[in-house]
Amino acid sequence: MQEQSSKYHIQEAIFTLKRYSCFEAIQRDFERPVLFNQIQLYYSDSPESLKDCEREIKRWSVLQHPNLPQSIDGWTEEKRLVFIWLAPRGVILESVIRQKKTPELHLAIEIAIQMASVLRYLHQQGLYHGSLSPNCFSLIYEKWIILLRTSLPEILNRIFEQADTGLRQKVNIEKLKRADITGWGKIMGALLTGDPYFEYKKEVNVKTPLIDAIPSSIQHKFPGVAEKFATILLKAMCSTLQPQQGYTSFDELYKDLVQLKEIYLSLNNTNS
Amino acid sequence: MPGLAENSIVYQYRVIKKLQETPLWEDYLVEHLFLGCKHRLRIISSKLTNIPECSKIITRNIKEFAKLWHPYLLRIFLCGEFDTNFFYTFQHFEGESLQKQFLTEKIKSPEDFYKFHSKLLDIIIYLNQQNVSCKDLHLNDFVLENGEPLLINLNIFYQTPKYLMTPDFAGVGEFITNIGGIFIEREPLKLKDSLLAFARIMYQTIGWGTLEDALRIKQREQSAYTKKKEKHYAPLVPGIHIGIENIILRALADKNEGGYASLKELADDLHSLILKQEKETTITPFIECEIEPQSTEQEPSLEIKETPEPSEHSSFTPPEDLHLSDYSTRESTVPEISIHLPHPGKKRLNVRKIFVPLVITICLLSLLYFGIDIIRGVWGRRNLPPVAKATTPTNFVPVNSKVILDGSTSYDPNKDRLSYYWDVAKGDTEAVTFVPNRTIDASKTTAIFKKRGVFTIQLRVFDGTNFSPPAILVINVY
Repeated sequence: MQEQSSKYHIQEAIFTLKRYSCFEAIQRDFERPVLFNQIQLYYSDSPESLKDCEREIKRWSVLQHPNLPQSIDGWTEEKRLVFIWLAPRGVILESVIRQKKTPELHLAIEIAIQMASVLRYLHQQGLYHGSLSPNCFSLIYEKWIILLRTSLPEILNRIFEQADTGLRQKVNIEKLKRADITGWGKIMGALLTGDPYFEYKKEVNVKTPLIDAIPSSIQHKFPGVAEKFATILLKAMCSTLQPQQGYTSFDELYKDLVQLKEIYLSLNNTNS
Repeated sequence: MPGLAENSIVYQYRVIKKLQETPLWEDYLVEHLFLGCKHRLRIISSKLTNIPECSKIITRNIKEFAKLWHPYLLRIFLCGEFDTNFFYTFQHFEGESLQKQFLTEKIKSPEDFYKFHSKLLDIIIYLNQQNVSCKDLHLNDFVLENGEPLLINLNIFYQTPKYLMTPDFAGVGEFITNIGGIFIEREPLKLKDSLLAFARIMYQTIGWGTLEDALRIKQREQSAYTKKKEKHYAPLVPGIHIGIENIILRALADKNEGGYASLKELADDLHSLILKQEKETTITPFIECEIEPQSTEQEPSLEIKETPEPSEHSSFTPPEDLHLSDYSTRESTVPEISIHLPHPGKKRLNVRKIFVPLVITICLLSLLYFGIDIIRGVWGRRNLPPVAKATTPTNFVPVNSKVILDGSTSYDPNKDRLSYYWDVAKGDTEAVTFVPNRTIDASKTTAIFKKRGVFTIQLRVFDGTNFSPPAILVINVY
């Protein structure tokens, strides 16, 4: 396995979480960046937890979506499990928000659709995140979104924690599902307004700042689009606090976004 | 070639089955032992890799391909050596070729047509940005995978050394040069290649066969060509094909003959074409104008020939003297498209050179004649912000009832048209709906209150430049 490790040159840590570390590395054969994920193993780890861990990695490796990193390699060593994901180098969405680089309307819609599409795909596979934030996503070539930080690290940690403590944590899927929808809304709201702490609050007008984030000249050119976009974001953001008024699934949300894009395109065509 | 048996192990892979075999390479479906996912493994024959020059080209090309990233581009995973054979693994795909999908009319709605072409154009733009020439790109280099196009052709190559093309290396040079998909070329960007690739793909999409064949048929026999074309128009929405012809022609033409100056221009045309659907396309038809040779005593007369108005079965008439210099050879340089003089002494002009300055002059004169007042009006005074005014017949309404809110007394000092923006300034925003809103028609809107409480409603009006300060209404819902 020494041979396999030597195919990658680790550069810097992206994030660490208890036993899980994710590094940016260079795949020497192709001189391209990859994500080098490793899980620290201890001699005390039970064979069952190792098996569970490998099963989870396999479950993620078969996923294929344009907005997900692709699994390309993996192996077990004496003290660690390693798996490599192919993901091009991009800009973390959080830094885009902090730099207040508000995307143009058509790009904002495109990003919203891509994010919703990958989360919808994961939900269809029974995989939920639960703690989405702007640093989970990377923006490639200012156009494509990649979900860099998946829920896999948390899942793997949970496996070892359960094995260590003997306590099985209950996962409320409905809660995670809603949290992802709300998380999506918050990220998009933050991206539009340039406010990293933008969120939904009851009895506060959140819609107007969202609409106002879109320049008035654009609003005038695309009447109704900003309003509809803000309504979708609002409906997503209140999914956890006011479930009756929010979206119940990414399918619903995705459908509304596609419809929004169609309206935008038809208006764009009329204007041109 | 080693001929891998089922369940044999190569690197970290277990062989599931052989997928394809040629004298120079073999493809296998394999399973990654640790990841459990299915990849494709291609083993290149030692016949190729034993030639140092050839081996260098292949590894360099695979590296170049692996560095590219686009959602619709096949991904290469790993490479290595196995029993003196070079191998690489890449994404497994099962979809049918896009060409097949289009020809069997599985993709025929305008929405699908637009969706696919904009995606194919997107990848061509990406390759162009990466300085990757894609002049040999064909529709069958793509498959439809999970509803999305995927560019799968992996046979990428640099210039092949001439000695590999000699009979001593029968087949080797051909492998590198003739099964091409993407030509990795770190040379000055060739927009023309990308335009040509897209024109070819569009051509194939609508079932006309290859662009090269079609143009040759056109030159030989006009009627056969029209017949073939009409047959394939059937599945398409009327009106689209005229635009397609124009796009193809503009993609093939030189920039100074009305051709595209950038891929973005092409993307814009494609966009407007598909969305217009049944309407006639707005793309300017090609207009030719000829100056007949005259005797020196006479003034030359101008004869303008415009391409006929597009109709559903109008025949496609590219300029008669459009020459395509051998598209079929893959080694050829960028096809030169040149417009030659049809007869000696005749001069062909692009009418835009005359027409555009003429229109500009007329516009300027009209503006001077009619527009002095307008210019005075616009430039002579500042654009002032509009003023919002809102009224309602009652401030106390029962829950779930409709109330008409009136903003029609709002005005703009410059008399600009106003759009009306109704919002909840205070209270539960989700409990109130305004129909209509944010349009010119929303001067009078119907508000529906779904909850009890006190709501502060604000109206802002927009004159195209400025928003007014808000006008406030307080509604008590019981």
